[in-house]
Amino acid sequence: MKLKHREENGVVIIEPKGKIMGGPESTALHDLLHDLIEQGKIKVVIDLSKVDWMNSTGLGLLISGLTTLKKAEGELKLTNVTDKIKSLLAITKLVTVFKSYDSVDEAINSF
Amino acid sequence: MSMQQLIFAVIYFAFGVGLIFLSFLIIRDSARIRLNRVTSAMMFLAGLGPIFAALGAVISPYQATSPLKESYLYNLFYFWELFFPVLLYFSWIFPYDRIGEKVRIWRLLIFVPHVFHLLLVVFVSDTDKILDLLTFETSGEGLISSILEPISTLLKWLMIPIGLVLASHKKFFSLINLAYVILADIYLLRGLKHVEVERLKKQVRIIILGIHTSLGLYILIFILPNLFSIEISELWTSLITILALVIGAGSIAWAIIRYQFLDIRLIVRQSLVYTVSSALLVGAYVIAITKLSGLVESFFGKEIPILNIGFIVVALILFQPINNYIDNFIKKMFIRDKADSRNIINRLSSKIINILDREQLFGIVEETLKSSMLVNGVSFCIYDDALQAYVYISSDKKKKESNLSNTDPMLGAIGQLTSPVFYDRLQTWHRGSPLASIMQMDSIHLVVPLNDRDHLLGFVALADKASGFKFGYEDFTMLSTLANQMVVALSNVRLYRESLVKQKLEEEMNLARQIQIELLPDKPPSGSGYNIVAHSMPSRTVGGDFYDFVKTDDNGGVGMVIADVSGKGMPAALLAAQIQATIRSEVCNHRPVADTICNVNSIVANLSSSSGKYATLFYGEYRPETSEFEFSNAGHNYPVLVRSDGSHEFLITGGTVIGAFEQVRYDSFKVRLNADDLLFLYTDGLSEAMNSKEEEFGEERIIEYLKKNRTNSLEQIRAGILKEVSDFTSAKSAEDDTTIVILKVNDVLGNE
Repeated sequence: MKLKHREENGVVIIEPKGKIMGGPESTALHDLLHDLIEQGKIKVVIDLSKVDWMNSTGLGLLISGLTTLKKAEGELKLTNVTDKIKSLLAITKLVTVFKSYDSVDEAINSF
Repeated sequence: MSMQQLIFAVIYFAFGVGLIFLSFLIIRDSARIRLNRVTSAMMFLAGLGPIFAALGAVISPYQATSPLKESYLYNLFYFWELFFPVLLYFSWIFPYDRIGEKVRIWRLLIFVPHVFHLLLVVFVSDTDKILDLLTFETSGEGLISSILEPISTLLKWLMIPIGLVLASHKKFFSLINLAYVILADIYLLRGLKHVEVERLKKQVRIIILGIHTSLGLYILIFILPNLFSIEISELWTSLITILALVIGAGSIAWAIIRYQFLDIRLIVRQSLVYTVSSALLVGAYVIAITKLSGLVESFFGKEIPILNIGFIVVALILFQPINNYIDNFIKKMFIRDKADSRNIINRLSSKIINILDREQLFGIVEETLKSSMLVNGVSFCIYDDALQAYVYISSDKKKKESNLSNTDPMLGAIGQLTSPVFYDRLQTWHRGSPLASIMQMDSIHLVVPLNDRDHLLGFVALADKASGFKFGYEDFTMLSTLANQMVVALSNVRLYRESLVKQKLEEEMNLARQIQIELLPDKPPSGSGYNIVAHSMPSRTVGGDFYDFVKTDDNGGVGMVIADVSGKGMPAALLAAQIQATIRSEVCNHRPVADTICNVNSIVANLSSSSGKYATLFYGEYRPETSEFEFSNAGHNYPVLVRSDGSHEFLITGGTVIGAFEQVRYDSFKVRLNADDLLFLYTDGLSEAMNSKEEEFGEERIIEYLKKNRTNSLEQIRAGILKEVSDFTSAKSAEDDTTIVILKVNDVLGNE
């Protein structure tokens, strides 16, 4: 998994790439979110357009990201969720927890 | 000459020859080393003393008035006294060389008194004669006389102290010699203080002890009688002299031989074999020549002198190469047990190849270098995989290990090396290098890089030698070999460590698997009107799947759980155990299904929230008396309910995953089960099982199989679906746990 991020209108957009499968490199997302919270940046959108697949550990990363941001009174939103991940979110009923949008702009505007 | 005198003469002579023999051995070992040269000279002079004494003892009775005794040459005997300045010189270079590259002139001045003494006793043995010679000149008249007279007077005046010295030169030089011995003793004692190598200390102590003993004896027999005119019998004088010489020179010889690692037995044996074989060769040659010349003579009928000369020329040409050959052969024969660098390396390599611990490896290398090369200190630098940095382990054990920056210029410089170099050569990189300043504190002299191909594993750093010797060509060769062996040993250590880590992981996995298996009920419950089969197969890496059955009431009600905890290994297994325990205790409260799951979630979330760990879980209760199945699905794969007519439904109602969020709303739903309805619960290990084309087995195949085989027995269905999956994935081993629970209603008690 590769991690890129940029900022737009006070919202941080994180763009992971590849598979979110857990493992040692996955702490990168966790660390990044903590850094952002320290900088006071608590509006985060994760753009999943370039994520092929996510296993249960990867899903756990998103969940812990969400709870971390919620504790800091921030929000984590998803965008460009691929069908495969959409069905995963549906089965686990995490769709009720994660707010997801069709485009990055839509997600940014929702804050 | 009495018998007693003869015996002493022989003993004197034997000891003298022995010492001279030793001196040749030492110089032959290596004449390039200053210590060897000085020690050899010292032994030689110490040997001359008793030899002269022996000769004197043999000559004196017969030639009491012989012209030899009158001659100046007789006093050459005093040549051996040079032993004392050489001893003093020796004390400056042992146990370590304090003179250095350039010998300062004042150090050589110590030889002046003895050279003067020798000249004096050889050429000026009789002052009166010289005085006569000088006065003869003054008898003339005129200009010449007036010029010569003051010179003559001056010379006469000069002759007075010389004459005085000569008159009592024995006493006088006894004192000088004593002073030299005491000085040498002081220097040796001072040198001893700076010696830290235990082995070296021992050697110096032996020498000092030897010198002290012979000093005492020397005072006893020469200085005291000379100063106070005490008469000591010749027997005692001879005995004590021999003792003093043997103890003094012997201790030095012994210490040097040990210290220099000359194997004395080997050298003696080698020399003996060499001498004997050379003698045999010469003997054989002489016999051959006489026989041959006899033959030639009888053939020609007369003696041919030219032939003998020819034989000698041939002998001269042949003898040297043959002798060399014998010498080499003998060396080869004896080299095997010689304590040379090859042997050290051999011994070391057999030791270090079996070492699997880095500290132990360094310990052995350090010990070997200290004992065989007599280096003052050995430091190590090694790349630590765990720290991802080079670590410097100082020779000074009191100092802590220091972590180095990977960009240290000195490390970069050492990384470029392929063989050992003097530390001074790396001077360019000293600036701005924390490593260089640490190394300077350890007074590092030599750096031996440890390169594994192009990668620098670390290096060994040596302080100077305790003996003060330079590192020679042989040392460099040995250190290069040592470096290669250390690289091999270090990679062994690394592999072993990796295998240990792997083994530890394996153990953890086994433990996790154990926990997981023990969580599972021995066998599914069987009640009236329904059958249950279950199966769980932990994968190689162990996920967190489990299933469980709980009695919900006294009317045959049964609760069933299937769950998949995120993550793998021990953490997943522990969370699974926790969730299972929580469910069991919550079910005992007989609350509605949705409430039970809601409580389980808040308890588990409390324990594990923000760790990102969670579980997908399906819980359902079957009540046979009403044929109702009430369930709540917490983010789990939808269980499939295959109806007896072949239609199917998914059991979806519930809430999100367990353990991720503290407050989650869960719903429950009731379905009515009819006879021959089949309820299939599974984890994603089954549906996501992949074949080599990376296709998943998928939900559709499961449903299709169930529909087709719904009339089979539960056992058949269970075995059948597992076979179907394993056929699909073929050789690929499951990456995730595979768990299934199947419920079939065969008899409906309800009001249908």
